[in-house]
Amino acid sequence: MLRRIEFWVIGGMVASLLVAAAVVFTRPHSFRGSVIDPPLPAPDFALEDGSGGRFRLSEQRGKLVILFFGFTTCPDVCPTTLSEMKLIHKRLGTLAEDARFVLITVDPERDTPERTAQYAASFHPAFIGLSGSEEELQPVWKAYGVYREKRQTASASGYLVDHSAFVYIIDRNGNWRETFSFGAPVDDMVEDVRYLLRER
Amino acid sequence: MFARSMYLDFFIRTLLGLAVGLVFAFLISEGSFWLLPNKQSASRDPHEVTLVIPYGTSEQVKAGAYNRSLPENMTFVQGDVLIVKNEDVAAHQLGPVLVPAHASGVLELSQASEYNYTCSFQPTNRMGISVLPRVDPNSRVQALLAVGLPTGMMLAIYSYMIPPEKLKFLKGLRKAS
Repeated sequence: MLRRIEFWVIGGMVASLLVAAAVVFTRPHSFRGSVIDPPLPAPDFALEDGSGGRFRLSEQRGKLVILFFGFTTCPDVCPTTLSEMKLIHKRLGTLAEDARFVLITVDPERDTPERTAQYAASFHPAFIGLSGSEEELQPVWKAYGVYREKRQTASASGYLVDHSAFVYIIDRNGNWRETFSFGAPVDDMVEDVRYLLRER
Repeated sequence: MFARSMYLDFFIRTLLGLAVGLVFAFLISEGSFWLLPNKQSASRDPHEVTLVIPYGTSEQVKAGAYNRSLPENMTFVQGDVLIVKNEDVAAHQLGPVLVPAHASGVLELSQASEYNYTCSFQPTNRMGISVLPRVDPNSRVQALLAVGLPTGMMLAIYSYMIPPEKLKFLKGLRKAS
């Protein structure tokens, strides 16, 4: 009699654990950023990468692209965001090999391709910094909804550039999947990027 | 016989303590809920809220002629999903939602807070969003238990210090048993 009760108690516990595991592991991923629904093909661009070559977005198929628009003399938002991108890179571990971390300047007047590349690499050697002429950059800014405006200051740098500060996530198929606004938790970005990197 | 009545005493005091604690918690918790100014919206289920940005909005905003009446402050409940449909030819931004032209941006409002966002399709360029914490039946029961159980146990422990002779109704219960 006791054995029979034990059998049902242990069996019930195992079954409950299996049901709980099934619920947890089959739960659909819920994105934390602002999702583009349905995903949109990310506008293509080709910009100078500082080593004399050109970085073309459409050639990055198979890699996930984490894109940010900023400038090298930015005092606050850009270094903060690039530091967060560095943290994402670290937290992804070996998965980061399948991701491209890209900075595009919003200040082509001062940010040459070499300077932008050097600045991006100062956060992580794998980071890519891109620049070009204002004529080349204008359509890219427009396509990605980048707001930018020069603001004169009394500082030695002369002017600052007010700009939007989104992080864009472009999946392995070249689709613009979501954006994160400035200040979004790094944990959220890591979760979504990890999910997209594992997505086939 | 003595041990049995002691156990009964202990049981009744604990039970009464918990009952009083839960009633007290119910009054406090439900009373606070009914005093909430937005109790009806805070207790509703999350739902989707869709905003449509019509074609030509960016041009109208640039020309200062955009006069669509969107409230400057909108109230949501935690868990609501904000969908911004952009039918315009330019990308638009509503706080953390950046929507390319001819696309939709979707954001789940998972954190209750007051937000003041940059908004590219409001004449003032600003939009306030309030996300109310959602008070569902589950959280009301949790609040009841979180306050009621410890209060009840505390009352029960204090009641153990009252000598049984002073609690007349216990005598009656003991006799009945």
